[in-house]
Amino acid sequence: MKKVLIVEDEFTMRSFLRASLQAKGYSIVEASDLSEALQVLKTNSVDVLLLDTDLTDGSFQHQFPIFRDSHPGLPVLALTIGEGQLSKGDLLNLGVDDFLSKPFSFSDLLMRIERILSPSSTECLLSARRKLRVDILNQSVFLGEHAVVLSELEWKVFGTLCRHVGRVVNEKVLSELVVSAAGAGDPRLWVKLIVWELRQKLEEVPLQPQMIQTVSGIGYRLETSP
Amino acid sequence: MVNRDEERPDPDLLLEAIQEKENQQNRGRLHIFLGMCAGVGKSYSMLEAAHERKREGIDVVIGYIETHGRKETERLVSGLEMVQRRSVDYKGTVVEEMDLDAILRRRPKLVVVDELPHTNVATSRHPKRYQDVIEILDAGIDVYTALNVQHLESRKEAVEQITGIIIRETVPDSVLEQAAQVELIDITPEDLLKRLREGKVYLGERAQVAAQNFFKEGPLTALREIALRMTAERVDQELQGMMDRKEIAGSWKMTERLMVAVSHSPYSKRLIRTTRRLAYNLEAPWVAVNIDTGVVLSEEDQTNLAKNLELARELGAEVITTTDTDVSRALQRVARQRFVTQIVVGRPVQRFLFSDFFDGGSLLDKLIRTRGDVDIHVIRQEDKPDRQSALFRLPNFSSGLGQYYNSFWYIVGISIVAYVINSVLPKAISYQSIGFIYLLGVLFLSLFVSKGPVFFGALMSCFVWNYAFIPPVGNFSISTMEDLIMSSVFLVAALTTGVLTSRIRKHEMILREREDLTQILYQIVSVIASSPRREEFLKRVTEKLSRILKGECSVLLKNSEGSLVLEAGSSAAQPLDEKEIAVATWAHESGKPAGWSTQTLPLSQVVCHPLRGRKQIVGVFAYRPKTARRLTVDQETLLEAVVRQLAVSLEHDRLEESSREAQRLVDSERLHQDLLSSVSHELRSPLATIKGVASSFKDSEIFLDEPSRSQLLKSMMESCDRLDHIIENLIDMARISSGNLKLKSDWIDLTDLLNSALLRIRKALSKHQVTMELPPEPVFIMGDVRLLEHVVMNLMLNAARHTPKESNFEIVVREKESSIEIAFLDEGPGIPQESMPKIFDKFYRVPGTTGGGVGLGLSIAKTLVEAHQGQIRAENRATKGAVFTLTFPIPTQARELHKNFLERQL
Repeated sequence: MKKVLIVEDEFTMRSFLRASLQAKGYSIVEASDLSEALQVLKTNSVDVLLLDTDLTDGSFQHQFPIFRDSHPGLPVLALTIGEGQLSKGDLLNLGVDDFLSKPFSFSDLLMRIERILSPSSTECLLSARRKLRVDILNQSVFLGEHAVVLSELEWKVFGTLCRHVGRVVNEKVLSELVVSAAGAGDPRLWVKLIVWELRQKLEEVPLQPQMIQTVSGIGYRLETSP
Repeated sequence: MVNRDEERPDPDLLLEAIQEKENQQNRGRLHIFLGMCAGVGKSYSMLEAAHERKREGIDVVIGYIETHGRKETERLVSGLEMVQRRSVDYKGTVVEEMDLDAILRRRPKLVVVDELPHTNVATSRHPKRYQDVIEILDAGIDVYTALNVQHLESRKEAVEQITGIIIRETVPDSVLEQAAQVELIDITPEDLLKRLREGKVYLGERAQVAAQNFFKEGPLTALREIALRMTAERVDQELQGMMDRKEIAGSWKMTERLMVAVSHSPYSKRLIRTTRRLAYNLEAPWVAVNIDTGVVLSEEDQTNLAKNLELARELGAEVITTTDTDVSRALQRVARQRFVTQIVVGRPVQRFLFSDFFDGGSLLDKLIRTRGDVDIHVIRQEDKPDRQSALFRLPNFSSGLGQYYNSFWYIVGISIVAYVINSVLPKAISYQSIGFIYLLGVLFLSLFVSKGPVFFGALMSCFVWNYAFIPPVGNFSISTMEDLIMSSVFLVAALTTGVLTSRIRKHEMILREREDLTQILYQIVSVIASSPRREEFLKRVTEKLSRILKGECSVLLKNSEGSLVLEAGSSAAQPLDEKEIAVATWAHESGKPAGWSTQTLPLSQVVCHPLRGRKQIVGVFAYRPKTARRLTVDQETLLEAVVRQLAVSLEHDRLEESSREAQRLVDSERLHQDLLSSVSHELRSPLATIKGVASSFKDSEIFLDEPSRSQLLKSMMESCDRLDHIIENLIDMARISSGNLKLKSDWIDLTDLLNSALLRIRKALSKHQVTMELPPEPVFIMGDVRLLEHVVMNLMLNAARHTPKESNFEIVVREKESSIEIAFLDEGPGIPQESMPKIFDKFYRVPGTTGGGVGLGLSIAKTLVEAHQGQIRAENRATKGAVFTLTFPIPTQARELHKNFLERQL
């Protein structure tokens, strides 16, 4: 059974999360702030951390970097109100693995938790119906029997998305990847153009992308579909 | 005739008295130790008194003391704290001066400053020590100082006459009047002479020199009398002052008002001083008038005039400048306007023969003749100062030698013409007629030159006519009685016409100058009135003034941090340097002009005038002349008028700004109220749904089957989304109205923008047929993706709410030459024509619409789109429904980069 640590200072929210997650078969430990979470972690081994970033004492910003240093491998899913002091991009930079904006639906939460817990592999089936699969090690993409040719720049972006499938990849990370390879011009625009081209090549309906999803103002997330 | 005004308390005077009282409370008190001459023991008494204060526990320091090596005095100095003097290197020698700033920093309760009339080294802030003292007093520090009677401005001449010594350093009487206490240090001349012999006054050689000049019993007695009389007068004044202050609310009788006419003449100084003395004794206000008769003054005379006016101002006169060709008429006018009761004039000097004839008598004669209810004081004038003889002065030499030269050649020309006519037609024209040619010539001459040259021309033509044409030809003798009469009449006629014409011309000139001045003022005022922005009118006014005054003008205003900064209005090639800013700051803080040509920091290149509005000083007007030349009285008047106008406008501007700020507050207050009333309903209805559903689930008695459960849950979810959306709009609105809407600009792929918006409101539009049409190439715009997503969502939600289910909703993106258009086409009822203009207003909802909404969506959309340099417009479609179109500028970089990108892919 996977163990989830919920760090949340609001009682209603905490009880809602506890009840729902227990119903889905997770075991739960709780803490009301980050220092308490550290205490809990001493005696419990936890698989994922659900963290409210808008703790009323405002301690998140100062304490999270320390926390991250002491537990670098622990996956963290941030729950945020979005209009707080930190933007979502900031959160990713601080070392949060993924996030979810409040208010959210429970099904979204479940999906994120599952994603964060699923191990990344070298091979990935993106769409069973379309027979779209990626071999990350060999840098190749197959649509059925045919290989899809990707340029070097396109692979740089797509490979990164594949390695973090189901999670948001910060746009900044992507633009840093292409900035050396791309020529003049704004690297942020380069990333967007590359994504546009990737969609043309890989999406079933490029105008309504299902696979490479945009997370407004933050980055992209690669989603698999049946 | 009783003038009621004279009996009523003058509001200005009342105000002055009240202000004086207030000022005295904040200002330091001045205590002057007055002596008849050096060596009476002023410094000694002063130091003794300082010690006394110190014993009383008062914080006393010595700002400056001169012991002249006197032992008793030196002993007294040693017990008191001394502020270090300032060493100034001036032209190679090191001079020690009182350190004004150090004293102001030290802030004692009382400071001792010796030798009040001292002249500071030229680089100091003030030229005179008494000005330093005034600044110390203004800072609320008491001052003990010493002064000899011969250094008083009003007594200077009397002392000069008694002792025969020229006195250079003087202190205006107004300083003495400011003193809270004047203490006369009096010893008898015999005692003083004894002390001098004992070497207690001056040491060694200086004692000998002093004894020869000053220290004789006769002069000393006279000086003592002056000092004693002054002190007695002052005591009298104090008594009067106390009575006035007590009676201030009761009856007030303005008794006397004196007036003196001031010109550039060196006599004027004497007249000014005398008037001041008379006024002081009568305790009456006095007016100094300068009459500009249109005579062009030389540079030197201009400087003299300005100096005289300054002296009058310094001595406490109200200075008025007026324009008129007739001095006596102007004096009478001013006297009437100002309720003057006494006029002080100089005894007229000997005048040229014709002058009285043409001018209708001397000034004095005219004054006496015309006005009965004014006393006239005639002050004798010494012969010494005037260098020009009366005869020479009268023909107005100031008009320049050039005009005489021109007149000479003009008459020569006329003579040649006359000679030619005479020799060609000797029979037809008699010598009498030749006279008329000359008369005509003189008449014409008077149109071009001033009085003096016309006189000259008339005389010259008379002589030439007599010599060359009137028989016997070739000499100046006149043979017949008839010719004699004729030439006399000719002379008188020529002179009269010449004088009359030139007087008319002068009058015209004055009028023109005045009109020019008025014109300039008018232009400036209209510039101020017509320019909507402060920066603009400041710029235009300074440019205009710079041209007229031949120099650089700038305006400095106080910023929010309280320091003076240059406004956009500046014609200066170089900005003000640090020292000049210091001058400006001083002018701003003290509210007095400072810098070049004033009494404060005169070595500076600029002169700064405080911009004093009705209530406050709003800034400083700085003027840097191209050449260090005094401004003419006219220019100064203009400058003053403009500065005043500027100050009032700037103050007005500032008030307007704060009232705008207040209006903004009122607006936001109203917005909050509208918001509360409209939002509370909108927030409550979805909340009610949520609570209702939740409570029905909780209630165990209510049995719900599966379909109704999911139906209820669905409506609950929808309510949540609705609440979320309202809150997002409110946050946007708050940001917009707080005025700090900051765009986080980034590239936006329009496909992403539309898709993510659609995704977020997919439930609301789930029953509609949504189609999207995009160009085959990627389309990018620059903007804040979160905010633009709100815009698109608001437009989509509008369609979802106001159009029937199952209807088509199209989103069409088209690339134009330099813009991108995103059109949202629906098939709803359209927008009623009368609602069109209001559709983007806050809280406006088309009447009769259902489906909720706060009325903020479109207003927010419009503001946000415009913040992105975009446009939004609403139209009705030709067939059915409405269309909202967004237009954004296309970023060129995106197109180029895409081309570049495609090339790389190949």
